Amino acid sequence: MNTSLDNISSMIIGGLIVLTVLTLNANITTSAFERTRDLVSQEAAVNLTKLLEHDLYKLGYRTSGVPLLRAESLAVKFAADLADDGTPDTILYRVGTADILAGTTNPRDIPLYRSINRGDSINVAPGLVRFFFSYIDTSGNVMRYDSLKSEAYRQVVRLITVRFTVEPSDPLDSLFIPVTVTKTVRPKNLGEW
Amino acid sequence: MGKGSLIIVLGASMVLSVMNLQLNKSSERAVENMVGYYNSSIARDIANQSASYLLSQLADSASWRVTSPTSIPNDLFSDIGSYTATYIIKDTVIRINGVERNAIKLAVTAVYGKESHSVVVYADRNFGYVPPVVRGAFTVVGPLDNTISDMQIDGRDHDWNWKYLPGSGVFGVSSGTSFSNSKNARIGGTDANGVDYPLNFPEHPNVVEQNYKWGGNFPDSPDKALGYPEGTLKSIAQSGKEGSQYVTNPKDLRYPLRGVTYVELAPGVTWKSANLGESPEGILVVHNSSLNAKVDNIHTKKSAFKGIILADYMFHLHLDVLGAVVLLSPKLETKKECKGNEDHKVFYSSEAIKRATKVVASQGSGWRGRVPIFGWRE
Repeated sequence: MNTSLDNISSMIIGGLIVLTVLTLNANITTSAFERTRDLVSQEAAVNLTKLLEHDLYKLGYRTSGVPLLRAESLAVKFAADLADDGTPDTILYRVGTADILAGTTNPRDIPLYRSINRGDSINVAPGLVRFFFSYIDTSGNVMRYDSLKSEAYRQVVRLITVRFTVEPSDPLDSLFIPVTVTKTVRPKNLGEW
Repeated sequence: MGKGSLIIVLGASMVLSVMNLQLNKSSERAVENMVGYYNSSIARDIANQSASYLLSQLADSASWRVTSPTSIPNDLFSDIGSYTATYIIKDTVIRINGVERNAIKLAVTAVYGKESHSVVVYADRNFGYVPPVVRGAFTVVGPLDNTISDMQIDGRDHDWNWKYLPGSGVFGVSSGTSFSNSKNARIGGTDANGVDYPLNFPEHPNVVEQNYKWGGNFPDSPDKALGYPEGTLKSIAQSGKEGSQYVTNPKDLRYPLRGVTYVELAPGVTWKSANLGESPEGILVVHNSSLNAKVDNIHTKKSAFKGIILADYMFHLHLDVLGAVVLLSPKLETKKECKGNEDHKVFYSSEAIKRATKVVASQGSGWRGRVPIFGWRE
């Protein structure tokens, strides 16, 4: 009788332990997956920030005239000698539309194209869901986009702020974990305040 | 069953441990990613701040050069922990839009943690500046026709040796009123789009700027023209800095003219047969508060005047000028005629103007406004 009771008890306890271990295993698997997704988004955000810094800090470097050629919410075009060879390059960033990336799982992701000297436009921001530029003048005021159509206003831009959000291309339980970055760059070749 | 449970538990523990390890690695990568970016930002800040610090020293000592890598003092940025930063400062030539410029190269490399960042700054070897008022080889607010007569006026840029530098000049004439060229002056210059036009009569219309409004505020004093508080030029002239001098009687001038030469004439007085001596350079001011200090028959003993002339009124210009001339009075000569100066010229030279304004730009502290920057690469 006692032996039977021991067997039943150990089966129950063993079953509970197995159940706990399996649940824990499942949770850790989910967590690991989530962490990896998070890391991918974070790395994508850092890489995009580094690329934008690399280009925007050189805005106006070894050029003449007004180097900011186009200043919009979803696009910026500027002159800079990226190659440091004495010949100015023209760099364009522009945000595309979500329908171009209709094949991805994330319905909101949009491409950010970068092109140099009218070369190929390459999407440099996988998982990007929100992106815009804003511009600050010599008085520290955020400038209106319609005024920036005029070269005279683009001439007084001193700071460029980039705000963007990156999400994984594939969801975890329909959950997209976002990484949002706000970066303000002061290109030194734009002139003094 | 007890053994079976034990095997399952041990197996699951092993799986858990492996997954935990993976999780830790993933966390570590995330932290490394952020720390790397943080360190990189700090390294960038150290490099930029070091460059500013070095430029301030360069502003005080334009001839300072450091040709082998040298460390920035470790206590310069004491709040941010351990870092290294090295720099060099040397002369070089930089090409901007196809034009070669003599420059000072300042290169700083900063290392913070495992990240490093380099900043290269190219500064003009001429520490002066071209004042915004200089929009032409001749910049005036009054009628200029009789003043220039038939002389040669070129707004295209030239170096110290009169060598033409393409695409970086100014108008031949910039006027706050209408301009006519009835005495056959040959005029060249650079238009607003950077296109150069050689000396010619009749001049290309693009080399003359007419009816420019100056926002309604054409400077009525030499200090305003250079963008400094009233009395700055007079004070520098009186200090004798770099050969500067201040006189109220031109006979008291000492030669050669250098630095700021400030001639303050009594109202209505004319400096006749104005002799600038041999190889005059710098900033020449002939002015009074009534804007009617007059210079007549200005000439040099030998060679040209190199720099910038800021005068109320001039007539009979029998000299060559490499730099620019700004006439402050709206009442210029409209009756008398000046003949025989077709062999004289006023050629714009940003280099000559920068060399001249260096004595003014060296006032103050810090490097901004004192060291002209060609480019800052980071």
